Amino acid sequence: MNRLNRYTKLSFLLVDDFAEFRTSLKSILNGIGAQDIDMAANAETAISLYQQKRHDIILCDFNLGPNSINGQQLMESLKYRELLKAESIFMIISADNFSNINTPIDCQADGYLTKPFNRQILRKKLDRILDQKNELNDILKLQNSHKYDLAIQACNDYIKGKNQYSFSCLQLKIDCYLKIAAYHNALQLLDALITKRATNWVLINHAKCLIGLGQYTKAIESIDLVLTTNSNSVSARDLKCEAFMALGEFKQAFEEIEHAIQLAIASTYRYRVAALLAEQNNDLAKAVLYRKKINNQIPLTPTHLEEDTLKYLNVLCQAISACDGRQQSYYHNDYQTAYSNANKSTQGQSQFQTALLLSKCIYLKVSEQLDTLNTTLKQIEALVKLENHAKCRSFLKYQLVYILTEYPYLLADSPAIQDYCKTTNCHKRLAINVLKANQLYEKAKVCNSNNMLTEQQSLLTQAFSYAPFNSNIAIKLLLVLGKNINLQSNQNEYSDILETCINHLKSLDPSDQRFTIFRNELKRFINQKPTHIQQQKEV
Amino acid sequence: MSDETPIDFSSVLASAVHDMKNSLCMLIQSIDQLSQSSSHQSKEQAEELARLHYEASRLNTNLMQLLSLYRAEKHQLPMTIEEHYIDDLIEEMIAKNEIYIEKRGLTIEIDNDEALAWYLDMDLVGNMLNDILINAMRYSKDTIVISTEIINDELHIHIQDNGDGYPQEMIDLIDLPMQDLNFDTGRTGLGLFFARMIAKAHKNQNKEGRIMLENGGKLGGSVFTLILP
Repeated sequence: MNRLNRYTKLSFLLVDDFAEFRTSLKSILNGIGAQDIDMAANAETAISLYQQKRHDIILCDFNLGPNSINGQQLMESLKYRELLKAESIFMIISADNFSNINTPIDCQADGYLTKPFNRQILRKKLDRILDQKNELNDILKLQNSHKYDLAIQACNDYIKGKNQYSFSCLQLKIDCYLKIAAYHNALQLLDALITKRATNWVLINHAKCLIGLGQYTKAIESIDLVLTTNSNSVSARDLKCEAFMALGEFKQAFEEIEHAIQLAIASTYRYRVAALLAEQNNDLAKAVLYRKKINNQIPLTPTHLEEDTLKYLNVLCQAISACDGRQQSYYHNDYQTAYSNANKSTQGQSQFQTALLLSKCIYLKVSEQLDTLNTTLKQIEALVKLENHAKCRSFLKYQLVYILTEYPYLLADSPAIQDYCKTTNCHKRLAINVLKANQLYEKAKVCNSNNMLTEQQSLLTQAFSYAPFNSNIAIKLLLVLGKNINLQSNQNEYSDILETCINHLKSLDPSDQRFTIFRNELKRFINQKPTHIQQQKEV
Repeated sequence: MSDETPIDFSSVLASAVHDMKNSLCMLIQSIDQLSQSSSHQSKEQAEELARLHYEASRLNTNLMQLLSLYRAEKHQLPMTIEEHYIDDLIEEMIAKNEIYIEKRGLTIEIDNDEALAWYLDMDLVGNMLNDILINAMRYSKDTIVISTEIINDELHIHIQDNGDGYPQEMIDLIDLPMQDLNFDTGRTGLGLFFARMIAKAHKNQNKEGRIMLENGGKLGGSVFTLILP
């Protein structure tokens, strides 16, 4: 296309909460020839306009107001919903220097523009992005349609030609390897890059590969190199937290995630990790704080789970029993508010109502209102009898396992609920044992031939039971389950473990490459049409 | 008040700079619009617009320097060193100052291999070089040359003009230890301090980045050189 009028036929979407900026930006765009320009004052309008028109270029301010997701989250939301087409350009505008925005390195926008800028700068930036996107368009399309093997092949061909965007292409290739969990291949490329120059991008991805291979201590060494030049790197803090967690160093892991939370945008994923770690460290005040934040997350967050509400109620019960006085009464108030809100919004959903009543049993116990406990248990018994033939949803399973593990005596006189636990395969949870989990994971890694798949699956299942927060083990298990189901075509046998795996992985941050692996595997399972997975479609 | 958490001045400063940059953005865009819409400007009007643009750019540079220097003192200055095309860096500098260049009738010559890529923090180096270019534009008679070369595995970026050159006392500042720099002389000291700090923060294989000030060069005026390992 003629560079002089290349913007005349392209459609633009401007997203900014300030009307003056929208007007000013619109007139700058008119100045470079743009004519088809839509404007949105908030994220919701932007999503709706983009859904209708799929604009060629989105220019979005980072800060969209105090009660809104920001520009980065809006882009992630569009990607998460698989709405953002590969050809669209998403550019984020901010008054801040972008090294402070701390986006995950692999989840960047096509371009970042720092204020102040003028027409000439905007045009230069757009020209550069368009040129690169046009050049790499075929590879991007393959990557966007999850054809990673083909994308890697196309990258190889492009890099061989020593073209202008060879380095960007190499980055795409590494990203593809990470999205198919080919950590050895990615590591080989990254090791070669490190001998040339260990940039933060290289080191972060190096650490991701090492984590993927279970080499957590080495991963921390790579991350520390990033932190020496940029102590505010959120990606580095996230990965360091994950590595410490996998090593069972929960206090250090908590410090890292708190650091990341202070630096970065509100992220449900980080709040969940922080809450889990606070619970492991028995820091109930912090656990309540983070569970509350998750519970109060804005509705646009795409990964809200029913379990989050139950976990919040459960941790409040723990906190109530661990303190007294004014603090205790605050927790009582919080519990009653959260319970009442959840109850109101889920009327008619019998399984969630059952889970809520189970939580209420715990609350009645910790607040010593034992006189009404029996009535609540009877209500639950009546509900579970009605559920006999329905598939038990994951959040109800979570709540049953929680009560069986932490408060088993509450169900001692309720055979109907105990029977329900047995028929739904809910048992007391194993105590966390990171050392055992890592040993089992190492053993599983060497079972790499097809005739050892069953053994590998069994080792990984055990490993995951000892470290149910380890995404690395969960992904490996999911991939092995995929192969097993493929070979034996007997999906129902793996139903429970598959569901546990899915339950953990669906709360991964969408910007994590493992989330892509998870989603693609899930789609593959759904296409094979095992009935038990169909119910996970809402993920 | 005493039991409240103390305010993190870095955050307050960052937030204030954020607001000011939003205002500056509007200001610069308005100048841009004015300059575009009034095609028949008198020489005086064109000069006024150029001056407005120049002062707004200076203000922006000062804000960035202030925030970066404060963060560096608190060991909070994040560096994101990645591989970038130097052509992009130069093009962006020119684009930022296009109005001023045009209104003052300056000629900018570029001598750079389009394929040259180097490892640097684009934001920090971009801001630093922009400050140098703004100075060169102010003092140059009519020509500026931006050139690059690789010497001993290090990138050299030169910005030279055909003005009267740097005063000797400014050249002498370069050899002073950072802590002995005197800021009473105005913003020149601050700009140099910032440039040295950003250059030094770029490290590779036991080498550190540095800057050089000279007079002469191919245009006979000032020559600023940034060297990155």
